[in-house]
Amino acid sequence: MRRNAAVILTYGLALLLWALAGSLLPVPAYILPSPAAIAERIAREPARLALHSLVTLQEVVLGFLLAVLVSIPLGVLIVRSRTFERVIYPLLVAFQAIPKVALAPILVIWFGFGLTSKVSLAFVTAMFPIVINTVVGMSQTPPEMIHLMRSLEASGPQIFLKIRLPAAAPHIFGGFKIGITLAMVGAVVGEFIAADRGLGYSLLIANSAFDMPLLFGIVILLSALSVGLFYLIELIEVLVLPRPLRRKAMSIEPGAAA
Amino acid sequence: MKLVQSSPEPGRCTPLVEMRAVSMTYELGDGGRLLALDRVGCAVAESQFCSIVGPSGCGKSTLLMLTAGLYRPSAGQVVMDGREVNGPSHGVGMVFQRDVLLEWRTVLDNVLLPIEVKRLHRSEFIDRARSLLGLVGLAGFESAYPDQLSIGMRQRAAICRALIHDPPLVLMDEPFASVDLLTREKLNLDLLRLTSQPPKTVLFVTHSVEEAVLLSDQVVVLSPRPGRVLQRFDVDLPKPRNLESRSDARFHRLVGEIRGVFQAAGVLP
Repeated sequence: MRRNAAVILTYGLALLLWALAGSLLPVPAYILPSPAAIAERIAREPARLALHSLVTLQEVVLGFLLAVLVSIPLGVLIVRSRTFERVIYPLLVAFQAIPKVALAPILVIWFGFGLTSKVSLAFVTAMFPIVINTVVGMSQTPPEMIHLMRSLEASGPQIFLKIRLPAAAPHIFGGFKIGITLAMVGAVVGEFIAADRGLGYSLLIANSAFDMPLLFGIVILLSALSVGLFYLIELIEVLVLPRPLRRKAMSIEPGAAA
Repeated sequence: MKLVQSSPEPGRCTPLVEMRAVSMTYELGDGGRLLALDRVGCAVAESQFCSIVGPSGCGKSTLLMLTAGLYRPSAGQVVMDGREVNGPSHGVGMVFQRDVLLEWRTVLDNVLLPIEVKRLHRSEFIDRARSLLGLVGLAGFESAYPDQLSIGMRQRAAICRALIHDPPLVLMDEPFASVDLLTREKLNLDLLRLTSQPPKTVLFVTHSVEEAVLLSDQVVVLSPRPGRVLQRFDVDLPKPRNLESRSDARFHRLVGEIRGVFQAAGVLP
């Protein structure tokens, strides 16, 4: 309880300072709008912003899920096959070296102005950390565990399901948490390049209208979406993983806050 | 266990496990080669507790891996039950220096791991798992996770896991090397209890001469790398054994003799 109080107090104070900044400092409202002005601007057209949020949310979630579906098998293959690792790893690193923004125009030409180009950009942005974390997690299995399983005549799938996967699970979830926030970046960048809906698109429109309170409002919405998705993954982690594997998670464990 | 004492030369009766001139060479990354074991021969009879003692790096662990069928010898044969070991095939029980418990499983689920791997019926082994855990003083810890246990308790659980499927052979690789001396004595007692009724065939690697003599029917002494059999000793200490067995004159004589072998080999000053 006391920890929660400290958190709320800190944020409350920061908000208060921000609210007072307009009157205390010589900063005009069109540079730094007050929290009240931002809230009021969001409240003026909540339905439209909600709709744009949903569009972006959909792009992020689809892109992320696609990244999960591709990255985990890719990571497993990299760990399992030396040849595959030699072939694919340099490619993966080179691919990660590309600023994903640079891919946006290409993806738009390939997939058009609609959902697909944003999903694919979110996908390529989110993929790398999930692959890397899967590889790191899978390759850290202690050799004795594998020896133990092999001495019991365990099959390959048994070793994978009973040892490698659970041992790697905390790392994979770590990759998910980085991946989901990167998927958000990918989706918004995609909307910057070519879109007629979504929060990234709304940002551009607000920018051209020099609507500072709306710009701030959208940024806050984006951040809220990201944080929400991040904690959703953490919640899934808590529900799916047995207690000892959750130690690495940033704690929002039930009971930990009490 | 009587079977063993009646045969002073274990190689003579049909052994459960036999090494026939087993050599092991490791290919090093830089093109070099490392001879770890040099024509090792020894035999472990059914229900016999055999210890392998030797200095660090003498290939003791390699010998266990070969017996489990996890490595293939560069030369020679490992024979088990009359057949050459060509890979993991006998479902041996293994205990390592680290307990290798799966952190994400409860103690009971860890002990039952071999049952799951072998696709046996879990329900039929739960009672056995509980009684094994009870024998080593872990009753009440069935649903604890390994990170709630001390090192000694974890190693006890690992021993239960190695015994749950009643394997024909138990391989132990310095299982007590990382516990303190008092815990080690307790674990020795636990192990004596677990492997004597009914008697299990055990191949036990240690670098403690006292531990080897206390636990074993036979002690095989290996030289520094490359590991060669320096000498074999049959331990005629009366059974059942306990920590007081160490005050027996025969215990001291054997420990002294084994140390003498190490001194002659230049391992001990």
